[in-house]
Amino acid sequence: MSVKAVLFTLLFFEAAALSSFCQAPPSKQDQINQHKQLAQQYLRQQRPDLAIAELQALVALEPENTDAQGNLGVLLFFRGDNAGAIPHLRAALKAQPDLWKIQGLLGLAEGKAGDGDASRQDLEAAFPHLTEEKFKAEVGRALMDNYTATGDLEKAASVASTLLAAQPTDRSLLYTSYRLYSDLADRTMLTLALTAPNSAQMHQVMARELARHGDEAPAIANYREAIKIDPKLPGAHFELGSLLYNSTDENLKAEAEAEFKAGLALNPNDEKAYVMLGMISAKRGDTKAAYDYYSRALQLQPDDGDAALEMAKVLVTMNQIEKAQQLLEHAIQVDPSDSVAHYRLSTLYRRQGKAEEANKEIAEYKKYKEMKDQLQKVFHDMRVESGQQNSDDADLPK
Amino acid sequence: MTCVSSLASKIPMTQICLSKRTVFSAAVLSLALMLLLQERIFCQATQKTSHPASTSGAASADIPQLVDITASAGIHFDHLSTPEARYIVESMSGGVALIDYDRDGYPDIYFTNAQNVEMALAGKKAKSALYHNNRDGTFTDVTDKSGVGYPCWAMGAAVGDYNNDGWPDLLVTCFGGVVMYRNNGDGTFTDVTKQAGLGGDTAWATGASFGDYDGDGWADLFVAHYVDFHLDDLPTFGSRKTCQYHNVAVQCGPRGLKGFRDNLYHNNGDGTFTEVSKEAGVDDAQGFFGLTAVWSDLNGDGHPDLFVANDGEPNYLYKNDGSGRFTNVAYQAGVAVNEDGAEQANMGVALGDYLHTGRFSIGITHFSEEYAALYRNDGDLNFTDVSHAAGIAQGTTSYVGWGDAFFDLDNDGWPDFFMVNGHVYPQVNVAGIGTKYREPKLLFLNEHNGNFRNISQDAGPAIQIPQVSRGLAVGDLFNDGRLELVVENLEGGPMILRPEGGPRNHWISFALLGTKSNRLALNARVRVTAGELVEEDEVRSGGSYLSQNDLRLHFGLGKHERVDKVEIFWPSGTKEVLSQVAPDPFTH
Repeated sequence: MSVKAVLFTLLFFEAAALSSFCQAPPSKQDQINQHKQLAQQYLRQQRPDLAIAELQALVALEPENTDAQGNLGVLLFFRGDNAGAIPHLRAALKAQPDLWKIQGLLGLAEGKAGDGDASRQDLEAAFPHLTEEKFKAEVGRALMDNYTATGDLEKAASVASTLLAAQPTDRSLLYTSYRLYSDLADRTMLTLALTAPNSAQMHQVMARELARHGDEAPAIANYREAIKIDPKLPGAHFELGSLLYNSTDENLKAEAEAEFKAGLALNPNDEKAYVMLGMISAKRGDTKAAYDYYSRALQLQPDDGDAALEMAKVLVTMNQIEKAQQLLEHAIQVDPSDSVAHYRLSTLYRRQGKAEEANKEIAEYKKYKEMKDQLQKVFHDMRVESGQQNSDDADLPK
Repeated sequence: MTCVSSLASKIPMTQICLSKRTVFSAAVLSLALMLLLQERIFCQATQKTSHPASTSGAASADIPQLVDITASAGIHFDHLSTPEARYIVESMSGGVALIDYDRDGYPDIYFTNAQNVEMALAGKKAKSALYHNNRDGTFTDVTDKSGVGYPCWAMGAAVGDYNNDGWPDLLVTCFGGVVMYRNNGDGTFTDVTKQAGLGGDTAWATGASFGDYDGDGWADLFVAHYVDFHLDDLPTFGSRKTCQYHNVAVQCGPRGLKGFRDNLYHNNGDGTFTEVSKEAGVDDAQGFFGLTAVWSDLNGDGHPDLFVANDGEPNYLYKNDGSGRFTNVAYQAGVAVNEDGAEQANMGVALGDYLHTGRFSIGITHFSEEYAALYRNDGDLNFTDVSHAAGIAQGTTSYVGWGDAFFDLDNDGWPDFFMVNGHVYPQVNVAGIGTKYREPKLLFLNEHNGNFRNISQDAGPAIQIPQVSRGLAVGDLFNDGRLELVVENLEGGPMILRPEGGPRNHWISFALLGTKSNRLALNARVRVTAGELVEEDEVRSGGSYLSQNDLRLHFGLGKHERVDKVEIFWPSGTKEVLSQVAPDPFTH
């Protein structure tokens, strides 16, 4: 239990005073010291129930003891007594407002006790100040749950983003983040559908959704409808062009160029459209036009790895090897995982007799290619073959 | 000794010795230069009256029309097929070989045939066929007499003279190894597979190619293998996603199935071979899906290198180090994968000097949704994927390409590009993706500047007839300077296409015979200079898809009536030069 492990380290006491040797009935201070000492002892022995009793006695004698209040709150929280923990945690916090861990724990306890408003307030206050990774994640998750419960998805997404920055490969966080953004998209789409069902934007949204699910024809129809309603709809021409370009239908593919050009007419600085037009020209064998389009794209965005890579291909066919090499090296600087750039660069190095460099680039190409292939396989297996694995294996030759 | 013989049509080959030149390591067996003003001796195809309108606006009068002469040639061969092609092994056969088995100077034709799974399980066989060229535009089925009718579940064929007796032998690749037919020189063949040491191969063999990789004068043999497939353990049709195509149930494979390693056999010079795949470094340890192999001296160092096209896997380009060992340099050379670093479904392989650089570039056919690739040879084993820039890729993505060839359609001296197509899945017709099972063929005209123009719509109706094509072999069947295209189809009869009309250009053809070099002069290179034209080609075994082109080298000369120089680079290392070869169509 991560939070428990973290918070036990919070428990701290002043060194217990030595027990009095006086035979007279113990003074209040003696009782305080005795409870402190016993509480410490029980904690060392990992006997929290006994420690709680000592701490309860202690805070009864010394309610202003912040440490005792805090520690008692912590122990009660982990015993599952959220209602019991809350006043002690609050008392500690009141005495020392910068106890961020205690405030985070208080927020967690309040949430479990059903006091959502107080919980959010405390979690929000504590979260930015927490530095211990696991506890911060726990508080962040509680905060995201709180936001999600009230539909504050943007705030939840913001917390998720903060957590992911620290733990970019955390599976649970990745899923939560995916789910949040997915829900946000759904909600946005719903709002759009309710407020502007026949708008160009609604058709654009529908087109994107349909395209995402591989429903090419209705996606194209929705894009066309969106553009018909608003010929200047930002992004629509490019999105439609991309969909057409990737179609397996040669006739549809041929229509992509007009869309990219229409997009450029609306936004002459649409760098991505230049790249796409360059690719279309290159595929047509029009090297000069491809060169011009890529040049413009790189002028607008020198760090566009795609533009650099495609331009390098054109330069290679034009036998401008040195320029191509520079662009590929830059593309790799921008994105070291660009397997294609590594591959192309290896061939150029080899031409120059740089065998060692060429082999290094091939190794990089293979490494990143394998990673991408593996990724594709994961998606393929999970999306396409879900539930069929066993029967499929049975059908394969031994 | 240099001998020159006429290859004029209707004239039996006659060798005329010009001089004794004992310094030559080998001899030019035949050489002909003819005006292309021949009497038409062939029947016109039935489509003659339905000549289509040109869709590109190009002047069709300048483009020879490819006419289907199959029927008039007397070819009545049918390749067996199944309507559903439920297993991958039922979709891959269909190789064709041009082999002048009787050495009369006219190429004969061998078509492979293949049973289906049901037939095989019932113990039935399919009959391949050998057609003898009658030298009058027709052929005669000599299968039964020759003894090459039932080699195996046949895939393809390659020609090589493994025993250097001067008679071309026939190697048939099979679903189940290879069959080596020794040419007895009397119109018959003998199956010598076991005594040749090739009987150990029982895997699914596909593209084979003879080549003397160690320069000992004996043709060695490379055999590519495809899928590790067994009739007693068949994958279930449509059973998994790798057995579906656009959500339609189809045969399984090759993805999802295991590949099988390739074999290199060293010719021992005594009629036997020894497998040396591993020690030579070409054993394909990863078991890629090999389809086509071809030997070619791609870096001009005098040692034949080996290119192997793998289906959906990286290709191999094995650089021959000259000492019997090879290094795969395909990635470094830029031919393992396409320009985007992606593996493609590599099928057929054509080699040609389409730029007149003296270097052989590589054309590779692929599956639909990919593109036919042209890897320009930039020298020193550096290649550039110029498929799009050269105009080859465009218009090929809808088709599944198989046999391909660089050949000079109009004898202008610049190799054009031809590819045959046909889908793998009959079920594609109902997939609703615009791609059909039967597909037309594609023809690209060399524009002399590194670019090609798709003239498929301008070369007559025959190549537009959709078929399920597989093998393609090119050769001057009638010794008249026109290169015929022999297409074997998976489904039904073959198609022989003959160029008719077009420019009246000159040409020259060479049949080489090695003495120090291997007898068929495999991988000998010939450079022809006629004015500003400098062309180069190489004698090759195998290639295309499961097929064998005419071993003679044909060069168009355009309007040049004289060849200034002919340089022959023999595999033995000797260079032979002929000067001022004058055209003379009928006499020598």
